[in-house]
Amino acid sequence: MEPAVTARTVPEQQVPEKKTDSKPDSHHLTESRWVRIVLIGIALAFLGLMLVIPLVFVFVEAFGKGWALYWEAIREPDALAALRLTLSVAAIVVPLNTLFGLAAAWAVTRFSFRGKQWLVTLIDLPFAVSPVIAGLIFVLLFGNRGLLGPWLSALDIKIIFAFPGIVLATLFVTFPFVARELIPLMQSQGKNEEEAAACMGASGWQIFWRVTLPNIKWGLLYGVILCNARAMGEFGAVSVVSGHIRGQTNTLPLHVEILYNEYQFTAAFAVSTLLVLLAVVTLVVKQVAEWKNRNEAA
Amino acid sequence: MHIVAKGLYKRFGTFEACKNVDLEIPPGKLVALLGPSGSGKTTLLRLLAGLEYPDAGEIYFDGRFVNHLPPQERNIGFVFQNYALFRHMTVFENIAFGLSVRKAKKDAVRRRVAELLELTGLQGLDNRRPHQLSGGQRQRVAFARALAPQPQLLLLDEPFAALDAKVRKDLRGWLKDMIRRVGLTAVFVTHDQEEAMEMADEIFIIHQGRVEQAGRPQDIYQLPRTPFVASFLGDSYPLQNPSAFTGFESYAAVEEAYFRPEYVRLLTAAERQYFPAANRGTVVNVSYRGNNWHVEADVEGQRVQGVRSLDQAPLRPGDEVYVIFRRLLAFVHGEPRWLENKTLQVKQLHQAEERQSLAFV
Repeated sequence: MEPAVTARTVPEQQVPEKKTDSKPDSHHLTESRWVRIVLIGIALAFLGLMLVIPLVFVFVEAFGKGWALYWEAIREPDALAALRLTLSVAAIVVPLNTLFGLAAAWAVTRFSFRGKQWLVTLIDLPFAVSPVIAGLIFVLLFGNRGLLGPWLSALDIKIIFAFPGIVLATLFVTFPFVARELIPLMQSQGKNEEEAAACMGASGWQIFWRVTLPNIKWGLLYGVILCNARAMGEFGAVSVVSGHIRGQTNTLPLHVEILYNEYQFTAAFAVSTLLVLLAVVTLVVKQVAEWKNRNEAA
Repeated sequence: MHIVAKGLYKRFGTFEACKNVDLEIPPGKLVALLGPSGSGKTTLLRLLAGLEYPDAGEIYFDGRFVNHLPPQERNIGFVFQNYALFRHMTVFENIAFGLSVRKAKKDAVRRRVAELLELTGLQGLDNRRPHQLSGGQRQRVAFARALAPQPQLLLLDEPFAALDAKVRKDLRGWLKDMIRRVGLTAVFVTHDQEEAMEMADEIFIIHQGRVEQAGRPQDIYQLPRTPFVASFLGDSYPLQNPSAFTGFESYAAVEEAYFRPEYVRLLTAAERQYFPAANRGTVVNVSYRGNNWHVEADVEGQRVQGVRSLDQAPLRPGDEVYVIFRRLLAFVHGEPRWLENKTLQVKQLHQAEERQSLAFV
């Protein structure tokens, strides 16, 4: 009888083995169906409550009193001035921080030098400091009673409560985005491709334009987009240095606040939609960049 | 290109990767830098390429002092261990890179790339991207790319390390043949002694940042200058107090010698009759190596390794065994010397072996 028993147990052992082979991780790593549904449900509910509903609400409020009022709020001269200011600040800050980020990432990933770890930590500093403090730093430096104040006023240079102050504060706050995005990317890619190019006779610039840049372009684009989103949306630091002069030193976020404080809700939400749209564009480009990056790496 | 390096020294932090290395590579030679990982062989290669600069020492290419020259101006080709192909470029663009950065004419570039594609057997793959190629194909693209600007010196860093065993063997012969055909000087780094012996005209054994021995593969194998070389190129194992073994009684002054398993015979009691000069021991371990048996035995309180051919009677752990060393390598005042087994005249041995093989037929 015994051979019959063993003959039956053998195929039984093989069958479950085959099953686990075909779906290697589904068995060990998955919770039961109910746990999954509950977890996904909680996550979706949280997202809906905290993100989607408020965003929809912005548009509902903005368009609540009709297209005409919406257009009027956006075409109002102070709103246009704020939009112009925000765009000009971004136009200066984003290229500068792109250059800085590239240079920093290059230095950190391609060379070894004393104090490299310190540099990496310093790059993160703006993330660690409250934006209000960041603004205050510039007031203390360049304000009328600040360290360089008397000297600046003697030369008739205005930084605080003027355009240069806003640019400086925004520069400070958005400083880490590009570098943060590039450093891990360039670290993982290593420098062999650049060394190979050098051995084949390529000059420094040729290596940068033809090897390095194409390899990092999607990561760089994503960093630039994040930097831009923050440059346009920054409130705290800019608020401290701007002086809130309507039509002159009000950026879009500051303008929204002023409108809101004046109970012009429709106008406040209308202007907000501009910033929300910017956020949506950012997310779309981010998705495309990540997708492209994955495709090219594959 | 004739390459001379004198007193090369390179330090990374506190780690000395290269300690006063002298080397000379005659033109047209294929040279291996062989050593264990961390021995400084890759650093040496990168110093030659100009990817690192030495802290001290001099490098001359054809008599020209090149220490300060960047890699761009050294007229070299470099093949990286992971090939470092430009991932966003096609095979064609990869190979053309070294020509296009020198502003070569489009026609000339196309002709040269076509020539290299044919030379490396990559025709028809010119529009593929690196991630669409097999490991062996990538290696060949890297090789073609390095050759495109017609360098005078080709440097290869572990060129086969990223390939599986079968492809590796095929490509070794191919690469050697290819380098011969192009007729350039080439230096490659490897930790694989078999690879170095098969491919290189000359081997530099690198150990702890120094050249331990240099020479033709067969010369180094036959007369290793240090215990490290003896154990790194081919197998060799230490043997304490060799005068305890029959045939070596007169070498009482030698405290330590080395033996290669191929010079050790392990015999059963039945086979022993032709070889009176044997020490008795016990088999500890037997492992199958495909073309022979690798046998470990305890003899005179020491562990001894030897080989037995597959047509001899198999040994099992615990069996009684008779061990004969045909020769031992000793280092006398730092000089290597082979000690021959005095009781075994070479002629006798040959006769005995003949008789033995007849006995097995």
